Amino acid sequence: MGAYLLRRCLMTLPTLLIVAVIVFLLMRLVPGDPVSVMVGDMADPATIAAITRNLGLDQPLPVQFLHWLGNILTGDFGTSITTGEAVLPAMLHRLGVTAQIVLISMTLAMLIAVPAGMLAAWRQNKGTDMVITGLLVLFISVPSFWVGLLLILLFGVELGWLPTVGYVAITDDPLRGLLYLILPCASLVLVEMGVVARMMRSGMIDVLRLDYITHARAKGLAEGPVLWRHAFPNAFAPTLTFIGLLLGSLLGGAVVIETVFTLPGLGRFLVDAIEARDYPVIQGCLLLVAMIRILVNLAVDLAYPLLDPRVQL
Amino acid sequence: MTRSLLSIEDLRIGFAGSERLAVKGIDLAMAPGERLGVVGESGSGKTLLARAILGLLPPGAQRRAGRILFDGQDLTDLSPATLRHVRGRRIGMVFQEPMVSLNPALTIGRQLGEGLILHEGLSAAEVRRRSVEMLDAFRMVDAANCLDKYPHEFSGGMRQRIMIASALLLRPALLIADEPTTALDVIVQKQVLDLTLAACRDLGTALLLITHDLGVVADCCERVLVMRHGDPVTQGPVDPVLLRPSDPYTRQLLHSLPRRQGVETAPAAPAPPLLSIKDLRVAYPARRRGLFRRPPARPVLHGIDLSLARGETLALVGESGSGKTTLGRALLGLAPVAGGRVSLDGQDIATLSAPERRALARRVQMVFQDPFSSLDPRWRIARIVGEGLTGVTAAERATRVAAALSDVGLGDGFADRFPHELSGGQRQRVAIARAIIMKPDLIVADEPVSALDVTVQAQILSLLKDLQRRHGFSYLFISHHLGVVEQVADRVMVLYRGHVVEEGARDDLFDRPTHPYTRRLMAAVPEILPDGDGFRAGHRPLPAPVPLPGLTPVEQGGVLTLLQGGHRVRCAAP
Repeated sequence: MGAYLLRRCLMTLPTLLIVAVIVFLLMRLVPGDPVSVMVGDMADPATIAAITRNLGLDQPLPVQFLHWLGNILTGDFGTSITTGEAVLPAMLHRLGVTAQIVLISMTLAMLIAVPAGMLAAWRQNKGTDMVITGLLVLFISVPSFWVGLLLILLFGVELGWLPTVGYVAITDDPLRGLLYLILPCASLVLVEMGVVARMMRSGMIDVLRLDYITHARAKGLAEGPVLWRHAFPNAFAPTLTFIGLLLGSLLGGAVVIETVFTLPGLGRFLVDAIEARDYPVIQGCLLLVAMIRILVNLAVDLAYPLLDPRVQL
Repeated sequence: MTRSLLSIEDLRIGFAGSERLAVKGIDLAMAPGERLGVVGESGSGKTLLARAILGLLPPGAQRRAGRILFDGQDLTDLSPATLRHVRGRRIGMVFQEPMVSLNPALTIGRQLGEGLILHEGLSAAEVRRRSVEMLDAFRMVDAANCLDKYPHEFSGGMRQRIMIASALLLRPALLIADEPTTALDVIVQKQVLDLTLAACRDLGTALLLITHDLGVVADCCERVLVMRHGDPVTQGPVDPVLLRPSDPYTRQLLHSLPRRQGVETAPAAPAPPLLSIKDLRVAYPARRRGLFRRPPARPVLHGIDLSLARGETLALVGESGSGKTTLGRALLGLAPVAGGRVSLDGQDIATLSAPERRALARRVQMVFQDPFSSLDPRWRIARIVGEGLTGVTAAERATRVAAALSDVGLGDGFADRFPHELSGGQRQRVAIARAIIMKPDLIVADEPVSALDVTVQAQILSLLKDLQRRHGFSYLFISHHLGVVEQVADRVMVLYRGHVVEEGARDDLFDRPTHPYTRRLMAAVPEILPDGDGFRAGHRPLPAPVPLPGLTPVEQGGVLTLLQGGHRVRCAAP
């Protein structure tokens, strides 16, 4: 286990290096010049040259890359070209916002979706299954931004119960912070629930066909223990892989939801930076996103043996 | 007659949305402690019958009529809660596949104890004591330790013993066993059956044994019910119903059982062999442990020598894990060869270039065991059969596909169908057509009839023999089934843990088995042998053992020593 963990962590290094090279080159290959974005069209050539020199943009690419990599390894992701903020603390702050809504909504979604999927599978092709499956398809097909807008319209505008857009840190004002989280979380829950429950349903249907389930029933067990003790651990493994993938991509930025609710999350940070050609921020965000994905996958792999004793690390 | 324990009256089972019945009016009665065998081919409804008793029919199947009386109580009338009281406690059930009938996510102890806790409310210590006691009765080594392990840590035979132990733990009055030993090797099968019968006798448990294996029924049961397409064909004591059958279907079943036919072919003239294998070693790389350390590869075959003449059938016999399938795969370059030489027609396979090797691969074709997974379900039969033909015109391809299909006894109508529209036997014919269309020199047939019913099996075996006579190719025939091997093979090689322990011409080997392992293998098979007008159940009579110096029960060394006429047996090195 310890050796496995160490090996997996070492294996992430080449991956991250490749990501770093790609991220770096991508930024240099796209047309457009960050300096002219910074100073505008009116600046004279001398000013532009001076800024370019200050930022190190006149150096050869390999030199720029090694310089950049060295800084990153010491925790210096540079400063934003547009705002002058240090990139690392800004990113982490925004990751915190995204992580809050994503983790809360994923927990809620799992609590609802896993039993719902199991129930649908247990009652496969019966009325209950039809209703659950129908709702799930609805949740999957409706785009998250539209759900978000509808929720804002109903609870924010019509009923006036909840704040519509914006963000208050929970550390600053717990009650108001919570109120601001409700709508974004709710719209994410609906979307996540649909896919997770469908995965759970199909995994469960496969498991319920197996002999050990019939054997458990033949022992005289009631349906509750049959489903939770015998079927759930075996049916949940594929769903867990999927949850890992989903979690990785959402933590990297739930862009749509963050935009609809104007949350200062990681996804919007990246999108804004792309529009402004803010190289240090884009590079930092992409690296951070890659790292998050790798870590989430690692966590999922480590969780497998809990469900399936055949998996040995 | 004694009071019956189980009595089924006019049971009819159908599937939702269809008028047709899968079980058409079965009546049966079992006395306490009695052993009844239900035999039939696939689709006979025997499994549905077994599942209906406990109300565990698969989704879609419905009981249409009939009563199931157990201890005077109609099980079909009970509420789910009352029925659960009967399940496990009064009637135990075990299934065929030991690999999927235990839950992989729970420890053995938990699965064994579940029923005891539920039905008898015993304390944890008491549950453990009873579980260990039952596992001991099933000869599990170190039973107390077994309880903390997971199913994947046991072999198939051990799992099946655990499974049956778990069903008998509650001392039920009836045990329903659905093909409990079909997935096991013959020696393990005998051990599991012997243990089960002994345990049932000790507990006074009646046994309802569902199987397709007539030999097992004749060996284990007192009475038998033969089913076909959901109909009861005949019912009564094993002798005479099974052994001196009067109805045509049972007679057909018994006559389809594979047995030796004709005289063996004369030893081939000393021509150069088609296939020659020298000192072949195969080892699978082991899983990496720790940070970088990789343990040494796990050897599967330890130096196999083999030669196969043109037109000859060589059978490889052995239990699972003996390396027989690996040997077949190594010929096709599908296994990691660690040493030795494989040559076809005098050409060393290892020295060939990639294109030469592909050309060679066409001359060696393969037929697999499972006709359901070896054909792509999205392709039509003509495409499956013709895929290997390259560089031919569409017209020629169509002609050759049609010829190959008619060779295997499938008419024109089959070319445009999909695999799922065919029966198991027809699919296996397609797999054979796919092999012979390449005009191969050698066909590696890996358990080609194990998944088929006995009547279909007989047809496929005679087809294989017939094709060989017409086209002259050689077979490397891999099987665990001694009867099948005896019917088709010219020569036989017995493998045990990657070593050849005995080889020889078919008649030599079957009439004078010498190695202790070969003898155990032959003694383990319950058989139905022709006896005058009827049949006789029992085990193959073995000749007295040959006193051979150095013949050790387990051979991890030794060399093959010649007895006579090509019959060799592994002995300790002189």
